[in-house]
Amino acid sequence: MTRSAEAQKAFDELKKMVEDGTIEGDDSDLPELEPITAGRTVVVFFPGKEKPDEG
Amino acid sequence: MGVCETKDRSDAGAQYNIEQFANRLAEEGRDRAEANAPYIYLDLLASRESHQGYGSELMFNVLRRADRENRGLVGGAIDSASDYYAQFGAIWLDRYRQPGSGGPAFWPPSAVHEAVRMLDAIAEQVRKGEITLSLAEGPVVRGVLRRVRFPETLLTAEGFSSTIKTRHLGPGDHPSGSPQTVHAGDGGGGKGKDERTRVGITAAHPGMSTEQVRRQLRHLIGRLRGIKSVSNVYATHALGTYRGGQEASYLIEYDGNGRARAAMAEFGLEQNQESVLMLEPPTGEGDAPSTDFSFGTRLNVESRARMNTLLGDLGLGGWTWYRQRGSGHSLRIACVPQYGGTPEGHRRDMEAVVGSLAELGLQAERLDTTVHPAVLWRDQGEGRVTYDSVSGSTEGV
Repeated sequence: MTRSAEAQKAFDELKKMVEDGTIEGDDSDLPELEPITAGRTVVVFFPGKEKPDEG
Repeated sequence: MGVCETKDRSDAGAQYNIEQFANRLAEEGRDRAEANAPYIYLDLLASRESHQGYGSELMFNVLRRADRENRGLVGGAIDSASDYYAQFGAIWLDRYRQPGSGGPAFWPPSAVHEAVRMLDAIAEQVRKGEITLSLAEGPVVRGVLRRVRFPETLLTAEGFSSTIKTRHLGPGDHPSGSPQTVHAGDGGGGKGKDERTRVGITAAHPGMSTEQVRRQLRHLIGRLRGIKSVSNVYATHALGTYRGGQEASYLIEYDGNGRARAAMAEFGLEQNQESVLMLEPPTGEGDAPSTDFSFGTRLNVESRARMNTLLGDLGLGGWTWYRQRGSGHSLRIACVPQYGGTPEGHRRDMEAVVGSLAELGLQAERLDTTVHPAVLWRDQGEGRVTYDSVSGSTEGV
């Protein structure tokens, strides 16, 4: 698999973290979602340009 | 002061009141103060033959809602359903009634939380591949459920008995001890639309403060809840990765129809969003795959950042990190044809992700599901459905 230099660096660092057992950490910035959501519509907003300042 | 938020506070000849609740809680060794919590009223009905019905179908979602809002549940359980409800902690309001005889039953908030934890524990077993469920393997499902003493109707109601297959991606056998082949999925579901599991995903919305997000959410939720045909509106803050960056975002889920779509279009227009993506239940036409990778542990910011770099290098445009209650982190990647995705490309991408994870020695489990992506656009273009074409229809509904 060919990776960019940046991706290869990230890969090497991540592999070392896996080997060293240092990948675990805090998750306070992550949302809590239902593991499986049945029968629902899920909406995702994709960003556009910021609204110009009013006035 | 009543304890139920419903206009109908009577059932099976009983009037619910705080004193009854408090006394029964004390008899059960629980905190009397929980009687003062807000309660949601339910019809706890289930047919004797199928153990499915109005009550059982409602139960799972309502349990989760009650838990999120720190509410209790109360309602009348018919006798053939009472054993079912007793399995996840119903307290009979009439102390002389017991499971098997039916009657008014209730769950204080702490019991709701315990029930949800139990459900999550089972879901986690399913997710980890410790239980592999398939409609084609009914006897297996029943056997598993007997073993864990879990009400089958709940699983059925929530879609857990859909084809759920996980694949162990790390080296060697699955952590559960079962061999690799047990967890091999078919990668695409491929079952009838009513049997499929739908998934959630987060939004990316840059440049917004937390308070702005909350203000917008309150506004949109209020609008959605004002639409009669929309129910179970759920929203939460989220963290999405889009075009290489992680951004403040939010997730909205609901059960609804075209009225809700119009509300989304209006909101997208107001917020000057480039587009709004709705992952709807599959229809059999225009459906696309979505894949979750669950790591079974909480990954720190540094490791996720490196994962983001790898995923971007694979050519993926967007994905979502999330966590499950009481569990580790997961990664969700949906194929959206309107953004140039193809099912074939998605499968190739997922195999590339699988390869990278295996090469890293990072264990994860894969869950493939099917969704129906629908996109509304701000700007016109060939084949695009724009906000203008669907908005303006929520007035007075």
